[in-house]
Amino acid sequence: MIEAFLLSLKVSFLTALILTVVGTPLAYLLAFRRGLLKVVLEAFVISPIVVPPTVLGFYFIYLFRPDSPVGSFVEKLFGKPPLFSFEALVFASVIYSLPFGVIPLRDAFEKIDRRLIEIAYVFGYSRLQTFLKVILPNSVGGFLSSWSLSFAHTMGEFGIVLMVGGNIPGQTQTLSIFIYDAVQGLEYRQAHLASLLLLTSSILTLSLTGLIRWRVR
Amino acid sequence: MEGKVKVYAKKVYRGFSLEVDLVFHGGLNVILGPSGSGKSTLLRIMAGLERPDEGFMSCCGEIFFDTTRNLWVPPQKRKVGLVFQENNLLPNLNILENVAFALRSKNKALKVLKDFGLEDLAYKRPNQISGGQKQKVAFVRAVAFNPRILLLDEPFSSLDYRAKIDLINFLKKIASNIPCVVVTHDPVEAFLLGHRVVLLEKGKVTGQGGPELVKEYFKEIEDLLHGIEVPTGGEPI
Repeated sequence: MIEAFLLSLKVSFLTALILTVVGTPLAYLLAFRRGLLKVVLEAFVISPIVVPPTVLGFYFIYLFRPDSPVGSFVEKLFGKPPLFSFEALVFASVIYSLPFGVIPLRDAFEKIDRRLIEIAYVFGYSRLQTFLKVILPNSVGGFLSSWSLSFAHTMGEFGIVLMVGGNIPGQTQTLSIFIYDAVQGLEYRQAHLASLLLLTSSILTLSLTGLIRWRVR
Repeated sequence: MEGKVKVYAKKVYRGFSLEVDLVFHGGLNVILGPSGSGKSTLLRIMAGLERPDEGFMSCCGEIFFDTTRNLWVPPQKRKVGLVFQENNLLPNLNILENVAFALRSKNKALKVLKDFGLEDLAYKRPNQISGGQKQKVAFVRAVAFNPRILLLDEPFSSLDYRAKIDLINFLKKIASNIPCVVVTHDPVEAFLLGHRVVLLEKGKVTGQGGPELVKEYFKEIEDLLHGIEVPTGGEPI
């Protein structure tokens, strides 16, 4: 159980970290661009909320299967098949948690008064400098929400991680899959303890983030 | 050419058409017009925050845009000072840091604040000072940036009359040597700011002249005030 819990922590931490890096430019585009690109991008980003994890999982398997061009390319590149691995878990989690990482950032960027951004331009700051000096420091709350929601959501993922990662103890068996296994095997004590651990860690993460947000306000 | 600003701009958007051809000189210039007359759009075009469909602008000998030659200088390269109605200061920075944001130096910023008697505000956050003080800091910062032109978009609108008059006098003192364009919908402000007034309505210039041009509006205000029914005989609270 501890092994599964540590794996969940590792996957969640990496997912939240990658989502902060990948989600920031995506959120910037969604907040400041208009037109068809924004509409399509927004639909893509939000889709994991409405699309069942099995659908996403199926497409991952289809895309990365060993006899597909993408699957064989990735296998050649990294020297091992992409599916049923730790990397597959992280990749699938990043896609599945995309809305939880991007939407709080988009909202935080949209809340910034456009006049502050325009004043920075007038004072000679480039778009990148304005982002670093105006948008970023005034979006701390959004980054914290993005990070904690991505982390907590990944901790609780089940369907997609089961499909793309399989259920290999020590390698791809996360805590939520461990609970499923325990229930299937009628090991209710184990299931109870693991559920309590998952519940506590999720609530603790969100509370801690809320506390930091309150302190930095 | 020194201190002279020429602007011709044409822009059509959402059924509204703006077309102006103006010359501004050093000192205070006021654009007076009702909401939706296109005055803020004109100011944004001059600052480089919006592009005109057609137009030309030169400021103190420098060309800012010329659509016939496909020339466009971005706002970062124009060196203009800009002050909005509110929210000019970054909320995460104190006043000193806000001024240093424009000047790229805290030492210079502190000197500027001292020169204008605002050093007491240096370590306060924008949310700890009054609206009038915030605008004063925004003016000082814009002037200290040493701009080619100072553009002010309804800078007094969110202030009470006491703060407004104090700030108008302050602006007259600090902006006497720079071409300065103030946009306002308030004829009283336009009259107090004086010098040159441009009347703008529905995207077109309808008059240009001195502060006496504004007096017509006072008659309109007087008529409006006469139309208000003042309640009498109320009980004291």
